Amino acid sequence: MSRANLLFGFTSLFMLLLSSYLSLVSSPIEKTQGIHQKIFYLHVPLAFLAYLAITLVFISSIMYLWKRTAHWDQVARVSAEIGIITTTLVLISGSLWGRPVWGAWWSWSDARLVTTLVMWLIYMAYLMLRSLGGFSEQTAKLGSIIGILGFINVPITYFSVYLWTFLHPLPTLQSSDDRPENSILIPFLLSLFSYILFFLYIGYLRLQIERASDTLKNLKQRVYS
Amino acid sequence: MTDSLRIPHIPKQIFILLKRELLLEIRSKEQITVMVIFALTSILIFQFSFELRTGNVQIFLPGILWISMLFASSLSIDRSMTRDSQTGVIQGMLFTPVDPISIFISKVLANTLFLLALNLILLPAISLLLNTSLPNYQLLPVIVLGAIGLSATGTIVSASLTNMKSRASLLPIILFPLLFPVVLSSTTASGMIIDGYSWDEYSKWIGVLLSYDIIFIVTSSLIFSYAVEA
Repeated sequence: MSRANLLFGFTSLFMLLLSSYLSLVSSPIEKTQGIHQKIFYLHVPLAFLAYLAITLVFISSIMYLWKRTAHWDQVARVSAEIGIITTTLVLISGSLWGRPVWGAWWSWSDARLVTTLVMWLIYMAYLMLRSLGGFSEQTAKLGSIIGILGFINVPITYFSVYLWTFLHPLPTLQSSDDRPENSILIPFLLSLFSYILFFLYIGYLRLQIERASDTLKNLKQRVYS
Repeated sequence: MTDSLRIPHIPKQIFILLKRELLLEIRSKEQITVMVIFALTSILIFQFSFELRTGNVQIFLPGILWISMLFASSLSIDRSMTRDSQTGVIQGMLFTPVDPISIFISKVLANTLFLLALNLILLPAISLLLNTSLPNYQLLPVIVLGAIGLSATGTIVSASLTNMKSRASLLPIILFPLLFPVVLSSTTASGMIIDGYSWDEYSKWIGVLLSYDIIFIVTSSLIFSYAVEA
């Protein structure tokens, strides 16, 4: 591992620890939700990253169909993996937050929750496809198609669940419009930044592994054929 | 690419290809038969799985209708795609000057027509077997738009999966989450129609279905050629 790589890794880890300390320990306890509000510093950056990851899958899928270079396919695969990890953590942290605040682990009337679940299912199917399909251009192409269809499906799903909630109103705690204080905003922004940095680092490492593994598979194919 | 985008020819190509799909189906009656038998079997299963617990299976009508349609459509569309790819028809068509968009649209139209034909049997069967009456003509826009959504998504997904080894297990896990908005909107709209809501109240669901159909047909038409190329 190169020195720049190590430096990147240590910086992101340090930032993650620092922001965790600032947000989880030193930030003030919020008045209405109490200690449970601390999940916010973890949940929202992860949700942001999840949507960022599927956007990256979408863009690199289009680029793959257009350019047909293995690079874009590798970026799509890595982004989908990060998307699944972050979406899973978002669902879990959201449930843990929902239980004390809404009084329920899960609410079918919240469009964000249901959309995230549908998104999780689509990208799980995407990863299943990548692993069952094996290493071939066919799988990469098919992955790109699902990457595109899955992405355009997300806003329609959100909108349809949003409409549905008017029929089935359940108590949900909507945040009021008041702006968060700086004592909450600053640790949050720092947290967001460190999570992005951390997952960029993981994505970068994962991309190098994917590249090496693709090279190996190509060599094997050449040797056996 | 510019050469293949000869828009004026597309309607004619779609018409010819649609005629081919219908002719094949009239001769073999394969897709319709599979769908009808499958849908009737699911009514039987729903009847016994819900009636025993609730004593009233009628509140499940929209769900029964759309779950039967969902599963029947995925079976039938997959059949039509595998038939064409196993016999090399799709690959053959791609060698001709036919635009891939025409192939996609004709498949979607054919599958929509088959789903509508299924409803000609399914709706009376539900009314008869579950002792209820369905407001058939009001359900028509929901059924047409829902069928288009099911066919468009089913066609593009099963077209891309045709050469995969684990197609049978991948098709439902990819297709069903993508179809979630269609199933949610059609079931809700049908339920509202059965419960006697007015057009103003349920028309927004027609809007969701319409936008899904347009967005999916446009996107899928653009990427269909990638899905079927060798």
